[in-house]
Amino acid sequence: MKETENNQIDLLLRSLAKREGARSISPSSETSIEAAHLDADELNAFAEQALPPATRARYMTHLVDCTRCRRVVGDLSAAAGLPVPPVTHAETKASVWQKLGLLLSPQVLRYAVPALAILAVISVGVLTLRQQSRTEFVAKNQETPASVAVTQTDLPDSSTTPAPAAGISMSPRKVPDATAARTDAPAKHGETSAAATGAGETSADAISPLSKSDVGREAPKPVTTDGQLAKQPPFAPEPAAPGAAARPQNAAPSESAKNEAIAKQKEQTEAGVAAARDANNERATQDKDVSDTRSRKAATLGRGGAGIMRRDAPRQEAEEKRGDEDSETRAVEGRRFRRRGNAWIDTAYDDSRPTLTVVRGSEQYRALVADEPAIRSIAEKLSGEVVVVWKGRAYRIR
Amino acid sequence: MKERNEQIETLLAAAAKRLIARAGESRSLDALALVPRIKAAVEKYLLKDDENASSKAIDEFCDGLQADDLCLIVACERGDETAWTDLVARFTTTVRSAARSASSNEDAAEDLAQSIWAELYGLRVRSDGKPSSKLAYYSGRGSLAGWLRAVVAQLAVDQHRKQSRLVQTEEDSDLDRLANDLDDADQIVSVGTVNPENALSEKFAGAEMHKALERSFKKLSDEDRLLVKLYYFDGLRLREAGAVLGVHEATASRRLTRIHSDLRQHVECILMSEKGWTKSETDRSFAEIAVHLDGDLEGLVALRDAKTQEHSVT
Repeated sequence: MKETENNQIDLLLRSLAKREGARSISPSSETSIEAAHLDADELNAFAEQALPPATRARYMTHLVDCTRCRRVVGDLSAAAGLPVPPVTHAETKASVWQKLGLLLSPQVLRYAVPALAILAVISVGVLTLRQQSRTEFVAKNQETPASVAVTQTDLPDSSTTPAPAAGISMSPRKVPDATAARTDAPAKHGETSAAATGAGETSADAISPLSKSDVGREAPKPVTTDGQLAKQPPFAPEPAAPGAAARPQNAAPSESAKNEAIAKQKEQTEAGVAAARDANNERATQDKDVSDTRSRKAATLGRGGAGIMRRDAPRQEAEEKRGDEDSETRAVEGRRFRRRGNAWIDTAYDDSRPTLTVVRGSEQYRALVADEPAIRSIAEKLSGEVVVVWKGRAYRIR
Repeated sequence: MKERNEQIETLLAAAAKRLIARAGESRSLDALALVPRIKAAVEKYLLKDDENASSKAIDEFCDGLQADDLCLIVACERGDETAWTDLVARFTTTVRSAARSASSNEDAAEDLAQSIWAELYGLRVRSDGKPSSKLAYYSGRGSLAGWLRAVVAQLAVDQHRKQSRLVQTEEDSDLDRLANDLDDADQIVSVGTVNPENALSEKFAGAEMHKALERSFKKLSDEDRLLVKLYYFDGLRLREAGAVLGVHEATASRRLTRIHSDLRQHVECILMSEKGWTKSETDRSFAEIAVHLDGDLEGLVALRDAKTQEHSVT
């Protein structure tokens, strides 16, 4: 379009030049400016670009109107053959402005604006997607602390046992085991409540909100009470283990020891109930704050720790687990057994499973090993109490 | 004023000494012999347009003078035969070449070259009894070779005009008539058109357009007008036109494109604001006239050449 317009002006100028040329055929047309013709020195100085700017401008005005002088200057310039700079400074400036003008011209903007708009939409879309993926990621990480929090808040139901302490000492990477601890805890609680009186059971239920707040504050207490637990690494099954581990330890030697443990738990429960009554109103409000704070803390832990270790955690966990298993578990006859105190528990064993207790050397034991020689092998290789799951049934061999 | 003159004199004396020191061959000239020449050049090219030119500007101007050429010319002017011999030996080829370019044949070129040397030597005598030599007009601002070419070109033009005046009385009226014929170029445009109404309309539009273009052209800067004149009116190529302006061919091309845009805008503005044309009418007229001019410019030139030949035959 622009080129066409320029071509039209070009043709008009050529037409104008022809008309002027025809007029200038007549020599009389230049008589008016003859007196003012530039002399040879001036013409040469102009052609050789040897004049000061002001003088050059004055001569230029004359040359525009004087065909004679202009033609001489044209010939002199061609003969001189002076080298000219490719682009003058002024022209550079002008061209820069021209380029800017062209850049902002409607022709360019017509395509540039939609292109920029599309680019902006794509950018926003990409940013949004990235934001979403990040949000999902964060949410995933928060599951860990959330589960910890749930564990912590659920555990108080069995806070009469040392289990809560283990629950608090859990690190985020022990999450799966923490869940196991949570599942272990009710069972243990059930045992405890079964051993306790009906009043104790109700009191345990009554202090469940109370113990939520006490978990944090009194957490070290059970740990220090149970030194074995405090020394152990915060391994997931271990939190639940003290109760379970203490049972065979204490129960095995004597029944009185078991009774002592139950009495101890009962005392703790009663003390908790008393404390709950004293600070009932205050704690009712604090409970929420503490649990929130704990949840936030746990969430922070989870977010920070899991964020950093989100890739390495499973591997490290597996490695640590393997290391622990090497020291705590043994494989016999294709079964894996984990040591809990003086007992070897089949990893497939579940507390809820009905268990048949068999004493070594008894008639029942001999009948069992006669039918299942592998159990004999297991019982011989593992000393102490052995709990094995065999063909869907659980046997406790003492 | 007096202090200013004294200051300038001091500057010129120092400049003359520097000029002689710069010259490869000073031809036994002293600084005092050069001062009047340098002063004339400074007044002509510097102080005439800038009376209050700084000392630095004066020094720079003087240091830009052609030392060797100026010393040679001044020595010739003072009657130094060796200098004259050197001048002729060095510039005979230049003068002959320039004369050939300005003449139609070899004999005319030889006559022109001899005339130049006579003018330079000063065969004619001025009213004060001293020889009238063109050497007195060389300022040293440009090269001596260029100055000699300019002298040859001017002399050729003068001789041509003298010869032209002899036949002017009988040809002038014919040429003026030819010019008037070509002024009515729009008539040529309308020859081929079928509809007389359209032809009249186009002729009118073309005349308006040409007038607007002439007015727009006058609004351009001197440098832009000079470029247009050199390119369109004198038929120079962009490289040659750029050389006159001291710019590169590419620069001249860009400048010409900008001039086209400026002229287009000016013409449109005149036609729309003064003649009441709409934008579409202006665009349509541009397009129509351009189409006709594109086809008829060649015919226009052919017609002019034919009439010129006819005149020369008669």
